[in-house]
Amino acid sequence: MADAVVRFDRSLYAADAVHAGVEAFGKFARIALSEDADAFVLAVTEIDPRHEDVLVDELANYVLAETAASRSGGAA
Amino acid sequence: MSQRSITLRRPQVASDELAWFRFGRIGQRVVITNDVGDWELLDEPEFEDLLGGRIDEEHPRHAVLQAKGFIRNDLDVAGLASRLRRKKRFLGQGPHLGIIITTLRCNQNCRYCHASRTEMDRVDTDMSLETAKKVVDHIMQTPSPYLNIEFQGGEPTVAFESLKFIVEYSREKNRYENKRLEHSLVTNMTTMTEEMAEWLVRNNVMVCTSLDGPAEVHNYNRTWQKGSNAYDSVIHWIEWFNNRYIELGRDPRLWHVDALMTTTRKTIDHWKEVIDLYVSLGIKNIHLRPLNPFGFAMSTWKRIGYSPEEYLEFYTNCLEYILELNRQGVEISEGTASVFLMKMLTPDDPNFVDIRSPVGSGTGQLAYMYDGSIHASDEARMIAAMGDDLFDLGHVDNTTFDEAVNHPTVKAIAVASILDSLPMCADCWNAPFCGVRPLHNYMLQKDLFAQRARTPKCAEHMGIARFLLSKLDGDEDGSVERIFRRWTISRPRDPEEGLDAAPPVRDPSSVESGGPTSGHSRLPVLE
Repeated sequence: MADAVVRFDRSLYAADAVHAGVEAFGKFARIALSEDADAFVLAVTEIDPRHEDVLVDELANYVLAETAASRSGGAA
Repeated sequence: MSQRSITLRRPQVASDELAWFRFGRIGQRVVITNDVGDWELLDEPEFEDLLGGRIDEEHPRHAVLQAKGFIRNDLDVAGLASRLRRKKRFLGQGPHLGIIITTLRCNQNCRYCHASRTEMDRVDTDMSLETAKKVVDHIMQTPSPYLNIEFQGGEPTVAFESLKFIVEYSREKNRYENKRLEHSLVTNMTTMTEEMAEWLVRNNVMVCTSLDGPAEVHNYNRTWQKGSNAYDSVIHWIEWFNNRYIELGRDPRLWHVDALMTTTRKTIDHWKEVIDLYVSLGIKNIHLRPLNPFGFAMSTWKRIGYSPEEYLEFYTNCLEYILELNRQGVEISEGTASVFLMKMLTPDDPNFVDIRSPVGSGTGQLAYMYDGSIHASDEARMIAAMGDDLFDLGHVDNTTFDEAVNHPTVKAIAVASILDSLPMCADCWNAPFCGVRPLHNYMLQKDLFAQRARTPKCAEHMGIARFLLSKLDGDEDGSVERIFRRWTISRPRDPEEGLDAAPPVRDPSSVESGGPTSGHSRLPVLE
């Protein structure tokens, strides 16, 4: 069972941003990306114990920031 | 291990139907607040209804959300502007608190001394009468119609002649200034004599002392000379003053010794005894002040300090107990809670210089050191005493009042504490009630702005506001609100009350030796 499952709704989050999040945080946890009709779904396991308190929240923040940056045409 | 599941959706927002507000979560509830300090707690579905524009006139929440200005339809913009003007009316008034350090000498050696006191033989740290006169001439130029001159130290009673001169000279000067002028003394009581005490009572100088708890805690925190007992001294004089006010026929709710405590690790272990002591002495307000990162506290932190989480646990234990005592008919309130509650429950801001936007440094208060140097605040002079003059504003010999309050440093502190302009604070639901502390930030992170969300003050203020709103939210019968509203009431004192009474009979058992002070009496001030 995953430590956490995060569903990023397609109506809000950009696909590139979700992929960027997986890449950026992949070195601190195992992150499996799947998709369904409504959302990008990240199953997060094996979180680095040093970061387990914050990793999921920081990942969600990162994806949101990347989405905002992609919509405004600049870097986050 | 339980699985955490997060679903991040795009909320439906009918932005053209909403007035402007901030929001956040308190437990399972959503709190919404606006600039005039109105707030409401909603269930998640209600919040979604609000965002989605589904709160129509039939909705049970419509009336209250409309009245509080959270719905744009029929929004009373002029009314909100008027209320905001009232909340912020302190902005145009200038400093109302003048802190004067008549000496840095002190006979106590408190473990947390924020003031960096000096030894009793350091008479070079006493304020001369010549400097005292210049200080009064300076602070009385404030445009504020209300002025509280607060004596701090060191222990101000060891330089009692300077104190008397300042009271008498400022009162004389006020015959022409016509301000509402008050004087208060922060003293450890250990050098108090009956002659001094009677003079203070007769001259309406309000007395504030430090009482850290029962003898075990007080004497541990506030070390005095060998063989002496600081606790016995402070208890004696609290009772003396309070009895004297009653003898003079003064209302004890208005005329009494205020007491402050500074929380150390030792206090946390004895929290209930501390409150019981205050109640037994008839003290109506306890201010559960945390340690500040100034003075000797910086070097003793490892022994007497604690984490923000530990402080909040202590604070909420105390407040639950204080609430229970109130339910039993005991009149006692908590200082920081009263400041927040006044912002949450009344149309006014208490103008408490430490929890304001902007913070009061330079705009709500000025501090004058024994040598005539001018500082943006009490904390600024504490930092100066540690050898850092960043917050110095000049000297009474060569700096005008206008130059001091328009000093670039004052402007920088204001910019760093106007919540509307600070990232994260500007959007925080607690903004209408909170206040940031640039000088704390500077001491902890060497940055006026700092990463505020990581500061102890943020944890403290968020925790306290959450606690208070949670209590009001679960208040089915209105009993909590009735208690909280009592804590927000502040009545002015009549300076003539009881002054025609006879002088006291001398108490032969009075204590006539004593020691120093630290802490300060900046209690909420109504304007």
